[in-house]
Amino acid sequence: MSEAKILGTDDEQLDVSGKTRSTMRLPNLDLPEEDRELYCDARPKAVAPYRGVLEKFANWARANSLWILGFGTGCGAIELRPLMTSRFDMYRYGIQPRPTPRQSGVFIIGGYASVKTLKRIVRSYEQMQNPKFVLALGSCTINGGMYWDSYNTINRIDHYIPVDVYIAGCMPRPEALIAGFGKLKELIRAGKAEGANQYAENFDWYKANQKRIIRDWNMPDYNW
Amino acid sequence: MISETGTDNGRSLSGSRLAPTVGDLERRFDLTDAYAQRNSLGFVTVEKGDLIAILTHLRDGLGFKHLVMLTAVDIIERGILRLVYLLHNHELVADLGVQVEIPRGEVATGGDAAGARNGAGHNGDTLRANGLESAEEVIRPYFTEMESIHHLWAQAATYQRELKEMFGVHFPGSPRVDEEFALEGWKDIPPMRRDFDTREYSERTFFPRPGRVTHDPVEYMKKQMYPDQPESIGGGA
Amino acid sequence: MNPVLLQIIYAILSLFVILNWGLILGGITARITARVQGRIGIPVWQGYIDIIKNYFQRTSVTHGIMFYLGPIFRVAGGVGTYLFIPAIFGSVLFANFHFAGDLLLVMYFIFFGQLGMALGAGESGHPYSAIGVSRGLSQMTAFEVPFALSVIALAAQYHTLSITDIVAAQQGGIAHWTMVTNPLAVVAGIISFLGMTMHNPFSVVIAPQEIPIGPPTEYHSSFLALLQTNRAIFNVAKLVLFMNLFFGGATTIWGMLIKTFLLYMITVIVGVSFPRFRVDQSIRFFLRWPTAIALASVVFAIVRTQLF
Repeated sequence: MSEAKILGTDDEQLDVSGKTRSTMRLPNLDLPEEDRELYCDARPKAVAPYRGVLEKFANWARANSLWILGFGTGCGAIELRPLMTSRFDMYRYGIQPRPTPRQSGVFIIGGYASVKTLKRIVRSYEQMQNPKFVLALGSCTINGGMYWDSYNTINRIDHYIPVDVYIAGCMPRPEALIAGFGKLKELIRAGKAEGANQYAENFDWYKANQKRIIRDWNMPDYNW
Repeated sequence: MISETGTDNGRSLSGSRLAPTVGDLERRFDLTDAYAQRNSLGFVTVEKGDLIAILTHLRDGLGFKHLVMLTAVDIIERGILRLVYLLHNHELVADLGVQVEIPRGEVATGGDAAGARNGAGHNGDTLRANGLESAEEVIRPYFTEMESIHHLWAQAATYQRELKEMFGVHFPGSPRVDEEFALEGWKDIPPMRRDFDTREYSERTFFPRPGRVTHDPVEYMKKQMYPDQPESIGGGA
Repeated sequence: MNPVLLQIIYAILSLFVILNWGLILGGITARITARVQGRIGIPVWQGYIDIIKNYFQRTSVTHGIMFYLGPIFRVAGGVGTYLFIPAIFGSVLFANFHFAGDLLLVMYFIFFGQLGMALGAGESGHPYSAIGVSRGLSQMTAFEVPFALSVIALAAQYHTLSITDIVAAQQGGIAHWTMVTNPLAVVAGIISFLGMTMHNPFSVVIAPQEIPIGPPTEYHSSFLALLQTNRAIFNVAKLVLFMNLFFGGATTIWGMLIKTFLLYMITVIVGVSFPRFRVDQSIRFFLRWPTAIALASVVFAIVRTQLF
């Protein structure tokens, strides 16, 4: 990218001290030129899948080894615990939790996302590697659910990150979650779960929605 | 229930465990109102200027050492904000709510942000990004103010931060009272105030999904039988 | 055919067998741990699917040259550990390059992998990686003490540092195994082996609930696949080493598989029974009784060779 392309917000009202500062400063602004590219100035790129048997084989491997991110976003996290323990045991389906977004492939949005949580969700989602999948639990992700008229929770998560499977409920029970994972596996094997590429292609729309909601944008535009 | 007009409600204090406490308070201070909701819970309403003295006396002299919570009720019809300080006595096993009525304020005053609307907050990252050293340099605008009690109970500072963000009540001197608490980047009026329409804000800001219906039988029958009446607040498509 | 070329082909073949055995052993262990917890657990072949999936990730993020080299060093450590141990005594296919190395070289390779990982994890810049690295290295220096002392005891007993000669001296029945002739060294060695495999109670280095995974926090995609491959190889290499040193080595492939499996079961049984030590607790643990036992084993070995 060229010189200081400040992609931050230029909202004057955020300047509480009354001094005229026109934009928020990105963390990579003061770095020397050769280090700046290490810090998220580039946009995401859509990566085309392989073709033929190779992609089918890769999709089979991805469907049978789903690594979920251990980030309990909302009240859906309470349903993840029985899913991991002896009674419902998701491990036998190849689903394993990983603590870091770098290594995980599935992001489970567990319920309502407040504005504060949405900032962290976006930051974690963008650190995951292509291909990545999103499972949205509960009615709050679909149309706002119980908190549809709240000043602090969003109504539709798919305006901010692409979603593959919605699992209805408030919260859905672990059996419903396993059924949702089964549907996700079907989508992956059919090659239809291309959320990462969809995010890269519609990056401006997603980013505009996110910036409209998240007012104090103090992170890079794309947190790879 | 807490009555809005402030008259005696529920049981009188004579049978409750709090009778000696309230009697002591009545001898020392002016109480506008005092009643018991049940045997172990009572409420007294006091003047704003007496509050610190009453709380100090309750804590040190009468054994109400535990501050349970500090919360506010926005009574927009009378133009006041009622702050409720709930204290607990471990020996009596009783709670006493000390209520203070302060003017609720219609206009945001004070603060340093001449250009900002009512209530722009900040956090540590925003401060550093704008070159400011500490939060003490910035005061968020507020609607009304009250004396702080953080010297009596340290945890009151957190409740006061919440009240500043949600109701617009400033507590001068309370540590970190101007930092953002639960809402990040909030630029509207404090959301717990009654003149803030949360449903309208949600429909304006977030993207509501069209086609929302309710299957509540009460709403359905209301529409059937009284089609001319306006909708009630909580339901409707 | 050129004998060196033949040797290389045999080494690659034996490495392939070991890789498969390591992945299956990992799957069996996870299955047993799951059964102990009352679950069913991941399929036995899940290790393969995880590695294949990681190789097929479409993007990856790099933090510099050392970040690339971290997993390479780790795999070099794992492969190097294996290639200088005779896996099966007397077999041409599994003899590897045992004539070129000895016990001290193998010990160096065990340590070398961890160091390379430390450098790579340090360049990733993640604070949790740095914490994990410091924990891992301090724990490693702690368990190397009883291990090195028991190796000295073996060297004093058998008058050699070549692993092949140590295995040869243990042939001829169970009465010749080090387990019987110098049990103290075996005890100290097995306790330090528990630390080496980083199962409970010494699993704080890669504890997933404490610091996200520790050193491999920033590693993903093909880097992580390389680390997982190395994990399989490295585990079996250590098992084969301990089998050769303390339990008489193996003369057939089935003997090797059964002995390594039983040896691994010791760590698994200890692993499921105990909670985790903190790092300072595990360092104190290793420097206390296991070191005392190892010192006693050195004395025992010297006294024994003087008397007999």
